[in-house]
Amino acid sequence: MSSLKRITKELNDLGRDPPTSCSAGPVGDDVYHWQASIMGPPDSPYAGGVFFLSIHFPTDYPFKPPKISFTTKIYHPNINANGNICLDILKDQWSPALTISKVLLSICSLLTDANPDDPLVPEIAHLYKTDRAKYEATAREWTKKYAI
Amino acid sequence: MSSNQGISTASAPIRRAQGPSTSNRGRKRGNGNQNHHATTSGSTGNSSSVHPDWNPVTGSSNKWAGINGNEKSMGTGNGTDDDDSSNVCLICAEKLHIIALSPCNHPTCHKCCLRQRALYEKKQCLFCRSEVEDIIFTDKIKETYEHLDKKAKLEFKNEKLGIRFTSKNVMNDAMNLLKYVSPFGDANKDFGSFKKLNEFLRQEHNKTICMICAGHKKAFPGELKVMTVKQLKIHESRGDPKDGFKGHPMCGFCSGKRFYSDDELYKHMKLSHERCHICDQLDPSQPQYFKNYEDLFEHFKSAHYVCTVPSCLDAKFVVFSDELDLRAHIIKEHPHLAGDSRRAMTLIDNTSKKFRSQITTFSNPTRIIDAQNEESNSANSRDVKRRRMEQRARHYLGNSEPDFQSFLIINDLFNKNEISAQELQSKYEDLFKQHADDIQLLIYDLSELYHSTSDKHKRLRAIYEGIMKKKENAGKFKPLVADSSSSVNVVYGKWGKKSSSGVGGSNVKFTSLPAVSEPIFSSKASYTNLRKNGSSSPSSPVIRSGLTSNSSSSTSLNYAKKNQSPPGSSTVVVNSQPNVTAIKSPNPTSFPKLQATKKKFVAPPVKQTTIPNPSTWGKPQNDNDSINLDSLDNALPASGSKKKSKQKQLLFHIGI
Repeated sequence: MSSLKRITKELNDLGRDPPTSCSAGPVGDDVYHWQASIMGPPDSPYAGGVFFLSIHFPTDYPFKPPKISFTTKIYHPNINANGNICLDILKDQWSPALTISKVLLSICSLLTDANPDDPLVPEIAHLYKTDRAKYEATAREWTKKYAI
Repeated sequence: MSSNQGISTASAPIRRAQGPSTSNRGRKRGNGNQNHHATTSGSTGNSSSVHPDWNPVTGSSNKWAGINGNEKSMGTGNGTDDDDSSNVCLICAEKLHIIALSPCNHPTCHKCCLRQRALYEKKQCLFCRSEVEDIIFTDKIKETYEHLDKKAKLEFKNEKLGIRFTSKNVMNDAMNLLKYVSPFGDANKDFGSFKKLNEFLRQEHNKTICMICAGHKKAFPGELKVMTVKQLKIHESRGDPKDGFKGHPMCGFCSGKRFYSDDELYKHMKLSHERCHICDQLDPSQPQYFKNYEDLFEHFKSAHYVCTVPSCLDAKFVVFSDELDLRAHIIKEHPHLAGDSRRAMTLIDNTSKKFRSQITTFSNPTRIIDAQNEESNSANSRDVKRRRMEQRARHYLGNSEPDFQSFLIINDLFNKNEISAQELQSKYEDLFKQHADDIQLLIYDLSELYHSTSDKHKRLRAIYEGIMKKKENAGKFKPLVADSSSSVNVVYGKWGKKSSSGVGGSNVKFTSLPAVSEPIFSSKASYTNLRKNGSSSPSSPVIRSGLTSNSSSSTSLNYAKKNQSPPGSSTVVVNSQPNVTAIKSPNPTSFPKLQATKKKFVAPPVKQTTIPNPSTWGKPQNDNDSINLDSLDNALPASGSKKKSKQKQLLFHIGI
């Protein structure tokens, strides 16, 4: 079993048909370590920001999910200070049929629609639920500070 | 086509890299799999003739150069896989030989399906996660589940795994994957477990498989590498970068105990060792582990605030990050101690005194880490910023490589001082037609690449700020322009802001102005002034648009009324327009225009007065945006003192 073949295929598919608003590729010679970027969705407080993520493929990929985390600081109920993302498809809901491209799109939609009911940062989730305007203002501020 | 090339070049060496172990094993394991391989590679052997333009050397990028080099050095070009992406398993990207058909119509290769059902022991479809009780394995890869389910009689089956096979060969091929046979082919039997296979390998060949991988990797027995003891040590400590495997991590407390991956190690640490939750809160990126609670407690004592009341010591983990929390805890949980305030104080003081020095040394390092992070961030930042700019540009250009190259050329020209910042901006505007609204972000990104004191940085930043200012104003004034009356209110706001002291005189004047509907000429001296001066003032619409030019030509009105009574004052301002009109032509026919003021009066001036942002006042860089403040300054005191003789200026401001 070789995860390399599958990863290579994904890389080629990404090059041939790049998804809108995100990109990904190996950092250096290590095909198992990628870097990705996501454009902040226009209809979100992250608009205008360019967010970088790091992707580590486990040797058992695609039977095990890739490890993805933000390297750009972001203010979001489901993303903590270390950049860890709380997203079900990166954990128990992972399916080997998912690709990096699909996962990145899922993360994009997580930026537009946070999931405050399953928060990674309870404080932000609380603000998200109680004072949406303030949450958005802070998220915008962080975007301006760290992602523009 | 390019993707096919990429796949073939990248994957071929991998297959061969595994060659020594897998092919040997396969040869002796039995006819099934290996024969099958042979036939398929034979049948697809002419795929190179199908794709004569294949060039295994042209990888998608430089990073494959090394691999391609390997392939060439390894000789023979039997890279016959991957002729068609439709014949490739979507899970593992290997070429399909035997296909696993499911009722949900999500076919995979037999290996992926068997791995899921036999090794991971899950019956979920790999695609849709639905529970699949029945799978059909066939070597006719164009078949469908429905067709086989209805038409074919499938007598070969494995009840336990819920798999039916279209032929005995297919069944053997698949089920042989699960057999624990010696890769050296000297024991023609199924050992039944990794342990027994490993014992055999050790005794007979002085070789071994990695038992950690055997337990966790979910690999078929034939997929595990057979290694010497020395190789095993390298495998465990360093892994194999080619497989993205970095070795089995070791627990620092349990001597020499290794785990399959970081996930398993993490579980172990959580179960068998202790983690300081206070440190976690302070710096979650640096988890602090301790071998057991005793060690952790020592750490609590030295670095945090422990409650030393015996019941709390027994309860464990009663520890706080600061003194205040501990104090609150004692008052709440041990009121008998808190009640005796002196004793409580000594208790706390003891703890805090004892640990205070250590606390400072403890919390300092985290701050240093933060500082270092910040530093490294800023050190990396130029690189990150460049990547950010490039990603942004690529995104705006819809991933068009030629456009991206011209973007880089523009930047290069600017860098070499061949074009100015303004030219850069206009070139950007041409290039980024789709995202003309966002080019200031690119300009900002580019400016960040230059040192903050450099001339280029400043020039780019000036353009960025200019664009942002325009946008800001556009956002502010767009709705106002739509409302005919409100632009006047904006003027009012600006004036009021300008000078609160010099306004005093005019204040009196305008608060005294009566309601809108009153005839203007019954009003006070200020109106006569207006009338005298009437020469240059055109009709009201022109005033609104052409104010900057008019401002110097002294249409006199100084409404520098402050916010004291906003509704009244802004009413006056609204009035001013018709006044001017009326003055221009003293003819009574202009009176009907007064009626228009009533309409304008509908606007909610109070709300509008709050619109101007004080921060915009300090930077009157844009001529369009700033009123002539000097002239206003001059006008105000003069008008306050000499009402009749002094000319007053009517200043209107409109954001364009």
